[in-house]
Amino acid sequence: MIYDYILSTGNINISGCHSSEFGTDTFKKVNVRAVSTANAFFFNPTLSSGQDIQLSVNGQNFFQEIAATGLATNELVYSINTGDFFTKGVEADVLDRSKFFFASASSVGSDSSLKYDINTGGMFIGTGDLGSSLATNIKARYASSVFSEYDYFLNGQKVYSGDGVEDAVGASFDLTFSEGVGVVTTENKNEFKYAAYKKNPKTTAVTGLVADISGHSFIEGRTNLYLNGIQEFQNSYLELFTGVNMIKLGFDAQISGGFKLNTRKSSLTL
Amino acid sequence: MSQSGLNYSLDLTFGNTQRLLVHYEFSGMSGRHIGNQVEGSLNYGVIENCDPANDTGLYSGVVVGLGGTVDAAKVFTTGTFLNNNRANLSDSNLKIKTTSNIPLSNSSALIDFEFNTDVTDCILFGSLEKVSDTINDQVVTGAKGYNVGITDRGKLFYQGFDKRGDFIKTFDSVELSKRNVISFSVGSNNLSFARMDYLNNSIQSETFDIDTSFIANNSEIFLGGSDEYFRTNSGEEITSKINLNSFCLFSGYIPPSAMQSIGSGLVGNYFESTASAATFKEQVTGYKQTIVYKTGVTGYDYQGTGSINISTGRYMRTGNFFNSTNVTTGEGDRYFIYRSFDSALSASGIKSFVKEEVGFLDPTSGYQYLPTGDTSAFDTLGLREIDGIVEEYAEQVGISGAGTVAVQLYGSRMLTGPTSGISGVIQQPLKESIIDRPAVLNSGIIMSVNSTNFKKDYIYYLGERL
Repeated sequence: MIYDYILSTGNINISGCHSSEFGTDTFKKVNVRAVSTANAFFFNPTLSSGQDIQLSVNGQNFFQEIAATGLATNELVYSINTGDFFTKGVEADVLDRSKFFFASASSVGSDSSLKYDINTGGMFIGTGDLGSSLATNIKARYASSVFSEYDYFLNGQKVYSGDGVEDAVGASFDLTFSEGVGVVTTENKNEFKYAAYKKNPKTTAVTGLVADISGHSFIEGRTNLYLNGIQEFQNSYLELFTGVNMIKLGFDAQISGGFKLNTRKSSLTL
Repeated sequence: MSQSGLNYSLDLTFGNTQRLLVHYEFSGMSGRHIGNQVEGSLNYGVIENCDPANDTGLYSGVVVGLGGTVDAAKVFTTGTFLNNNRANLSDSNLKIKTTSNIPLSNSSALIDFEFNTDVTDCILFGSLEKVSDTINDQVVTGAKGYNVGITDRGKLFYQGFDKRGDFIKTFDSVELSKRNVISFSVGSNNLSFARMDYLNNSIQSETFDIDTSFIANNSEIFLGGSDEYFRTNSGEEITSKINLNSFCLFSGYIPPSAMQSIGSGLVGNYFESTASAATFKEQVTGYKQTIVYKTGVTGYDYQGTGSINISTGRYMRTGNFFNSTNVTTGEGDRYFIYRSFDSALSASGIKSFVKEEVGFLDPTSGYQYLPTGDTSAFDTLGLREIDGIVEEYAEQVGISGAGTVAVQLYGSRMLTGPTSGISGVIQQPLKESIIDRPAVLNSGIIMSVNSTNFKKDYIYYLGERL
């Protein structure tokens, strides 16, 4: 099992942990539950400013695409190509502006569990090759990108350097999800799409085979866990202080002792 | 960690500091007075109740850990109990004396503490004391105060006693960090726990129903111990492994939201910036109204627009007179007087003259004639036999070509201007400059305290471990 914890470390002082200058004012933008009703799911439009929603559907990452619009008779037609869902803008009625619209092939039902983060750094997608198109898309916005600045997803499952994805060339930043580091081959490459999200500032990732981690200071509530690349909900782990004993044996559940008689007398001088 | 910060936040929340009964703040103790308490033959250090408490003369805290001489008590207090600007409750508890007037059934506390090692169960605020009386051979048990502490699992708990006996309420929805700012408020049958999450600007709170009518006041309150705890026999016995940064006890129930504001002053630092220059802004004081009249045609003006020459279409007679010669004539004789047409007509190319036949009258006669009444003409007119000189001219006449007449042309032009009709009113605001922000000191709380101990540092996975 690969346990991958994304931790928001904040700043050295308190005010720096919710500072817009440091990009750490994300306390309302992480682990937000999508509200559902009548088989539809909604997000909080006051948190999102457009294409910035990193959505998890039952742990699988869904990519948000800006929909192309076409005008038919008395109707506005939306279409997406590579993404998994889209949101509507001010051209839509008020209720639709906060609603998730999924691609027809998406298996989102009323029993699905959705949560999302707001990612303002940038989100990218590519398909039809071994990963170079994703690298090209990233470099179009951030020319001097570094491999470690992004989280990578292969068909919605998070993959890691050397285990699903790697920097193909190194210095020039070119991605490959190909065989050897991943499951994509030249024969099946059209079956996959790759997504990348720029990591939020002041965060750190702890990835390994150990379920529990310690020694990394982080801000409570601003953490994510990916288990084998699938995102878990926050109720699957506890955020604690290392001094807490999770299990302690040999103690009775006594809460009250006997009565005491206090007969001390004293004088106080200041 | 500043008295001025707490003073500021209390003033901001309540308008005064009267509800603050007890305030222990342990930073900067090297420059502050350490009191002394004599108990029997032993001396104990005393931490003063400090500003901005309502009455700093009351509720000082006794360091009960080590009694001895005055010097020994002070050395223990400053050298052991006070450590790195904190009170180490691993070394001694703190006892607040003469607290009988503190209404524990309607009070609140704000505590800034941190664990110095692993979490163990302990008492933070211990005022619970069970008492029993025998009435008609019946033993009746009652209680004073309550305890607030931490379980081994790191959860805040409230231990009380009411008509149903002992009970514990656990604030189990919140995980504590190494350093925590927590509050509990008791009053009106409510118990509210809160943990201030200053990293996320939020409050984690939980409220329980309790019967506050069973909470009596107690004459002693312990920080770090309790007279009624399952593994100790006295409030002076140490239960905790925590360091206390500061402690506040208030009268009355204070909701968690207010506690968060007050706590920011407890944790953060008060600041005052130098006075900035006053800024001004314009303020509308009224309006000046100006009537605007419609514009339109007020009349017409005629101006020359050029000229045209109009051919008369007829031949015209033309002529001239010239070659003046003097001729002697007698008075009463007839001769011609010539006059030219005016120059304007001449300018058109048509020159002509007129002549008039008149009788000659001698200018020296004074034009006085004396008719005699005789039959001859001379007699009748009174003319005289006298000669004079007149001019005669040679005449030249002919027929000119078709003449033209120049005609000046005129055109009309509209004259425009305001008319009597009103098209609208211009409303122009009248302003004066007023002070927008006076040149005063800026003040507030800055949360520049190190955040490391407020953060979590351990994640425990709850799922199946494969």
